[in-house]
Amino acid sequence: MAFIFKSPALKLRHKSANHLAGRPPQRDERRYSNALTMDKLPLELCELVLQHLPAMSAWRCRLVCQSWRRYIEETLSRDWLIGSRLLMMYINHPRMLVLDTSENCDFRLTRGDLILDLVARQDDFLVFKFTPSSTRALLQLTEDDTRPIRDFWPNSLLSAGQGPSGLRSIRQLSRKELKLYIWTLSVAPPTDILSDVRLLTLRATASGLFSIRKRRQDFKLQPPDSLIVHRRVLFSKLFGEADNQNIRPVMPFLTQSL
Amino acid sequence: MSITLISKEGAQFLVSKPVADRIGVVRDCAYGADFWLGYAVATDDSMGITLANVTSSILSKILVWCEHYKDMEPLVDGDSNMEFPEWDMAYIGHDMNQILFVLEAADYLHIPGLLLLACKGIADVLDGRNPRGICDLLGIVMDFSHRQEVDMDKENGYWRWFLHPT
Repeated sequence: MAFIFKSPALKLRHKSANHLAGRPPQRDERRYSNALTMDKLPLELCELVLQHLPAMSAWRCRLVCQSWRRYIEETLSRDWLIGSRLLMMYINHPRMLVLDTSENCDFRLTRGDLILDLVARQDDFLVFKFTPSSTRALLQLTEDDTRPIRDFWPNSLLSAGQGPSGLRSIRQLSRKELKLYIWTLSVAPPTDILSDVRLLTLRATASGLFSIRKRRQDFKLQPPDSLIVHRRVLFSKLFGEADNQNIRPVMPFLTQSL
Repeated sequence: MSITLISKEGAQFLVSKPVADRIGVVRDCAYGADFWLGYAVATDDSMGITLANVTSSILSKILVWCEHYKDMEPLVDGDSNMEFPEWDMAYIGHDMNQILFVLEAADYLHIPGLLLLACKGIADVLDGRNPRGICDLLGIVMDFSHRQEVDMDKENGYWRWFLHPT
């Protein structure tokens, strides 16, 4: 008990003494402060300046200091992907969702590969493409499965399967993972399902799907982990050349051996 | 009507009304609460407006901009793709220290057009520099821990390159 009572007071006293004596701040104290010396630029003005940089230069500037990095990675870079041609991503989450069309689901993104077929936009989601092989699974869905999706994406068309075999019971659904197949209107007419369909498959937990009150908030997409890419990684791959040139020669022994 | 502006050093600048209207702080001081009525509250010209945070050299530079834009509207809103007129870019120049002071003063004096122009000027200077050069230029201390640097190296692909050098 005595230890619990003592420790915060001691901490406070230690900090204030350090501050009053005019010693330089410790590393931990300095970490979350704005690292600009003097009052050359306050952080708000820094952010204003960074907004005027082109994306590649701004991404390089994230290596300047912590506060810049936090702003660029969490706030500024969010807008760059709007309108870009990726398959699908969830922009407002730091771990973006990127779906690949290829079968191996290996995320390979270079600048050349950025140009992909289709883009549509539904709220936070940029859109979708799909492999023809998943049409088989589409037929196993029933009408009830697709209802929550229709609430979530009102403009998307969903195809229901034949027969009641897909849906067993609500209880069973809430335990298992649902597979949702979403099909955008702009891609193909319904008659082309079996021949040339571009669809998006996602596994969503059915936890909140059937609750009436907070359905939208609880609806959560859970793609496989191999498809989730952090926004940081994505931009580092996109703008990586700039970093390679300028930061520092990493692995010098390797370059010598090559 | 003219308004007297007093800089940090005490130097006095006599500016006309349309020029002073470009400066938000001065406009608010001169018209005060009766801005919507359209006439000046401060009728006494001898009483100047003190701008305590702006030095004389920067204030004179800002007044050049205000003089240029007393008749036309400056650009107020934009992003990284916008183009400024040539006069603006020649006015803001490439002197980093001076642009920083102009930026601070524009923020303090509430001049949105000049604030935007100064941001553009700084962005032009920073564009194409490496982070270490930016740190030296702005006097910023790189405050990353060792762990973070290693993480960033991994993200930038050095680690993969190390594993599969191609």
